[in-house]
Amino acid sequence: MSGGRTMGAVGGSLSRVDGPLKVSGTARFTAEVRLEGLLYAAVVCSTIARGRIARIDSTTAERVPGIIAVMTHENCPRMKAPLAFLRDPNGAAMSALPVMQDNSVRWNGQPVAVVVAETQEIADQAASLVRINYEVEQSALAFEALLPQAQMPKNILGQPSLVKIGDAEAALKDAAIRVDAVYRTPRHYHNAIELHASTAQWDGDDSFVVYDSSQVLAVERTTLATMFGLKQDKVRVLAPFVGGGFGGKTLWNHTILCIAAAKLVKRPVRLVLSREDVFRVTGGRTLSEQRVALGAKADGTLAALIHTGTTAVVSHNSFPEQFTFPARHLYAAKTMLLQQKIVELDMVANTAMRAPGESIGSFALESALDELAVAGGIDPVELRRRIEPAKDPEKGTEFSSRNLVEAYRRGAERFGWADRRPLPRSRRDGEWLIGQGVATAMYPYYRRPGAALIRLTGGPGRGA
Amino acid sequence: MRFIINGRSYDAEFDVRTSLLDLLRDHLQLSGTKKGCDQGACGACTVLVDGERINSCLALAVQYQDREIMTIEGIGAAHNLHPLQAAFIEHDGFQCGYCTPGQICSAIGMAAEHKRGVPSALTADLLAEHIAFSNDEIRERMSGNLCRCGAHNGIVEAIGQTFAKELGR
Amino acid sequence: MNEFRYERAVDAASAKTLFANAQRAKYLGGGTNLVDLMRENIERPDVVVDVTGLTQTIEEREDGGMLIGAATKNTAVAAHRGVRERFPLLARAILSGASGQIRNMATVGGNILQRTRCYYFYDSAARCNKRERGAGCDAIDGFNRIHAILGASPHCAATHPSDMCVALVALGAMVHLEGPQGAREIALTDLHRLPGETPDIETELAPGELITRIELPALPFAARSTYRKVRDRASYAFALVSVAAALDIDEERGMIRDVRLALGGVAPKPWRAFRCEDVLRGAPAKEESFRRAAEAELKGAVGLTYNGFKIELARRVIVSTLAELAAPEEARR
Repeated sequence: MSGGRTMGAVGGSLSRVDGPLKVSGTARFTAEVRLEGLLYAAVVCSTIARGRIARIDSTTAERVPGIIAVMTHENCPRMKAPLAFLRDPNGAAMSALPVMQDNSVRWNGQPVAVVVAETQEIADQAASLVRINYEVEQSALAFEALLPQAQMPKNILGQPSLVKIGDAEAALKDAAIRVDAVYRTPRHYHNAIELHASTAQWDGDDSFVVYDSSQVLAVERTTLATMFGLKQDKVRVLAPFVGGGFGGKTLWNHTILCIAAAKLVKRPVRLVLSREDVFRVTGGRTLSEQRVALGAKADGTLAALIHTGTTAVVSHNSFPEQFTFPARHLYAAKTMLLQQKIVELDMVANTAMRAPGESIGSFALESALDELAVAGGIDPVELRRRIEPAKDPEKGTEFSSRNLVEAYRRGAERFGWADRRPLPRSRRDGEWLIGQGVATAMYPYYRRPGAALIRLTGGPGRGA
Repeated sequence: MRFIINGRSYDAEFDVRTSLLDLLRDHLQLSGTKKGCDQGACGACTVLVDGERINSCLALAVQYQDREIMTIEGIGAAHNLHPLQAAFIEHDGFQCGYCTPGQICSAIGMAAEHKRGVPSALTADLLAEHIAFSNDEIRERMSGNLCRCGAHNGIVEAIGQTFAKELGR
Repeated sequence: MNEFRYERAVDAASAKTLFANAQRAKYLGGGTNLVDLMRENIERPDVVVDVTGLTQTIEEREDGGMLIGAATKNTAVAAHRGVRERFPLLARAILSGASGQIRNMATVGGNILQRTRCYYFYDSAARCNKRERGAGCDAIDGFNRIHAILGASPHCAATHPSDMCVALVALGAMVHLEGPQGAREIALTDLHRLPGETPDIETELAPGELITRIELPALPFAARSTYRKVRDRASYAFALVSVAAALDIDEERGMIRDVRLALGGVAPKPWRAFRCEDVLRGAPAKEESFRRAAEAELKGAVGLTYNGFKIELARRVIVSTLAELAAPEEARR
């Protein structure tokens, strides 16, 4: 910390205040909350991607001693559809689909039954005994095959899906140095070590508390209250400790179903997803197919910057994965074509994950820039220095501050860039090939209205 | 059935299908040991049995009667930390803390293995009198414990520092 | 997991009796595979017979061979000084497998009888001839990156995932069995079956037969051996391709006197590379011989959509491992 003096905790170096609790195993996570009369739930997930449940046979399951209930669309408490993240300002759910309110199946992995029992072993065994017949409908599953039908979404996080400055394709054709490549990124899953879990307890019919492994407590409370037709102050969402989220712990069906099941059986219910079911019931980052085409003059300055591509989403969410965002702000180019399209698949809803958009977009953009540096025989750091924009490339606005060039300079110095051998495969250490590269990472800073309440207590000599 | 956990005797009646992990968490209210995968892939459930580290999720509780079981609760309490626990805090060897109990139990078991002279997949000389307790050896030996928050460097430092003297670093 | 009765055997005789008294019993070792399979409802025994109390001794014989109790834990075998001295490939193979925790739990017998990790075998919604004969195989046209390039059939391309077994078949290990019909021995390399038309039958074991011991015949030149494992992660991952090899070189003439070689990750059973060995015996200890030998073994290799890379990879790993073993002592570390 340069120039600071410490004032109590500010400016100093602190160990995590929850450290002793975590290293001693006494920090209580969601599936560790103890409640009187607690029951255990297990989900049954669909094995078809699209269609209808024709018949659910739970007779064998219900005969297992210790079974309390099997909840399906036939007896699930009525609920309004979830408020979806980004579609609704108070939305915490990654999908707007109603949850277990009818016999429709919209993805392979959709929970179609919840078994509630005295123990987890009984619930898991009974879940495996539920027999379901489906009417299978045609489903959209093959991303590649559907690419020709991709459409631009209305917007990307409120920004335009298409940015056109000049005629980039024409400028690309005439450019002295050109790279034009396709970059594909696979689906990614958060896989927080703590399994998604919820524990719900009702108080009468108009109030409940849910312990949930969740990153979005306030909007989750609002969404749940809306779904169950309750006043907001009658719903509590508690998550003192969350074992990793990374974007994957918003509001998913298992939490909603846990609360519904607790309402049905009139006892507290805990629902922990198995590791396999985490992939079925919750989503991850979408895959992408991106094209980055760069056309430059001999000195590397960009005549054309093209970054386009397609991701896979579901019709019941709005998360296109903003991979073209770095290209909007990082580099100066005479012409630009940025465009994002989406393909709608019948799959579990995709969601935010660790640097949504910027991470996979950077991979494509920075790789292409590297290829351009090689094609033009220009040092990659020097290239980025030359294409540093004076103003925001997309909107022409001024930067309030920007120190990227200085960062490149210091980084080059610290990492011994001057000693780098630019020819690939030219440096070996035993059985290892050693290389050195550079890439720019960008992450946005979103500002929203906020508030803080400070309460000062105590008289002279006490408190702050 | 009788279990000896952290030096204390417990009597429990339960479904024979119950894993040692679920016995600890759901029946004995010892929820320090964590469930991350229930299939031996993440190591969050690691406990010590007669000083040896195992994945309690793959252990049928019934197989571990009358064995000396040590869980994170027995390693040290918040107000009375084991040196390794203190080192995890000092070196920031965790963020969310969910893999942490498993990491700590595993490290203690691992240190005991190293002390006994058990080699690892990385050990160049299988017959060496003394195996180095390098960062590479620590990483290889701790590979059964995943951390999604990426606290590995802090974990390795904490382990290296705590057992440096004992294992000759 | 279905309900079951748990029994603990004190010796082989009681184990067999407890097994015979059930409709559908399974022997239980450390549980690192069986408990997982039971949880997935792939194995559904009505009685589980815990055999971890059986022989865990490791006996070094005067002639240089070894006898290892089937209930011995993997870690104990790898750590045993005699194993490390006489059969380093076995120690290295075990140490490269699984994680420290699993190696501590898993028994030798259980390691031998562990089942494939094919994704479709594990997915009850997928078609699998191993789980249900005649159901079909979704792996053949599916995501088959981890599947076999040798020994597969149109009905099944699942691989045997053990590292320990690859070293054991290279060493010509014998498996000692006790069953309702008495005791017998079978070479490990004959214990596991190829899938053919019956992938659901994985071993030559008769119902109730129990593995009691593994016998390693004396093999002095096994002191010059190693295990090379190639996988997607640096640790705690199954092999894409692995090689267990031991080399006996006449240093003066630069000729290979004798050799043992086996492959892992490439076949439904731990693959003793007999063809490879035939080419190498009597050949110069040079890369050209290693290549010819690898070629001979992989001649019949067949790639599926996603695992064809294993053929070239296996070639290179065989050559590289043999080259490593053939190098003079000082260079070999």
